Amino acid sequence: MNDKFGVVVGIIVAVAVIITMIVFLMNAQPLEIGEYVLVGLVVIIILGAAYIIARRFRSVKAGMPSEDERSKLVNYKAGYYAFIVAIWASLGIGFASDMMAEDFGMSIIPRHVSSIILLITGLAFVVSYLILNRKGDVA
Amino acid sequence: MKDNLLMLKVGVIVAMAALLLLLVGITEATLSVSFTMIMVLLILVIFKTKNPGLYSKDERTIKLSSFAASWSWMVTIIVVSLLFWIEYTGVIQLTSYEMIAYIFITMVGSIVAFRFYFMHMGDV
Repeated sequence: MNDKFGVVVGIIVAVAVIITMIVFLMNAQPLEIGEYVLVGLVVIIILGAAYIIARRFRSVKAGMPSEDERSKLVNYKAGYYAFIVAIWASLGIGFASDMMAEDFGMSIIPRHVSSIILLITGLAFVVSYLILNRKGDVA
Repeated sequence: MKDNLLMLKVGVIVAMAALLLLLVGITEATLSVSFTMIMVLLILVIFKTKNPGLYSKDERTIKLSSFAASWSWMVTIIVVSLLFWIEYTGVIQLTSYEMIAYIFITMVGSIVAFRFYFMHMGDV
């Protein structure tokens, strides 16, 4: 029951993100280069998340648990890497903000700080999950 | 072997700081970043050489630290999302530095708390 619930919640979140993206794209035309990069990152994260959800959906459909010991380990290890990336991303953004303030007299908007950290760390999680999942030994 | 690895890490960080100063130039920001990087490393090296037993790692502690970092990342993601909406809706006006400071405090606080919790749990 819990497995099915998890998969359903995952699908709902993925659909909500896709709808938000479509609404954003419809309202933000024409896009700038920076926005194309952000959209590209979000698309990669959505595709990665969709792959992970699809795998769990197939497992639940076949009557197996959505997560076994190995996939839990992969999940935790990918989270660990995402944490490390989040630390460096926060440091980098702070430094970039300092440089922008000194050289151009402007700084990064606070909500952009959170968006950039979310995107970078989300991308790090999805990429490390997919790489670790392809590897044989995770421990 | 471990000492060599530690010295390699120190060398890489000092080289990164030097490169930063060379590329960007000596400004207040680059100096403070480089100084912080080197100070953190120095403190780590001093602590590790004074209490080597305290910092020894085994399979269990590495696994528990990974779990703690993973849970801390999840908490950080939630806090970052909350901060985004708080700032976006104008409930509290934050600067980008305050935002980064809150994120850092969340990361450090949550990883210390989760590490403490998992270490006392025994195994996960």
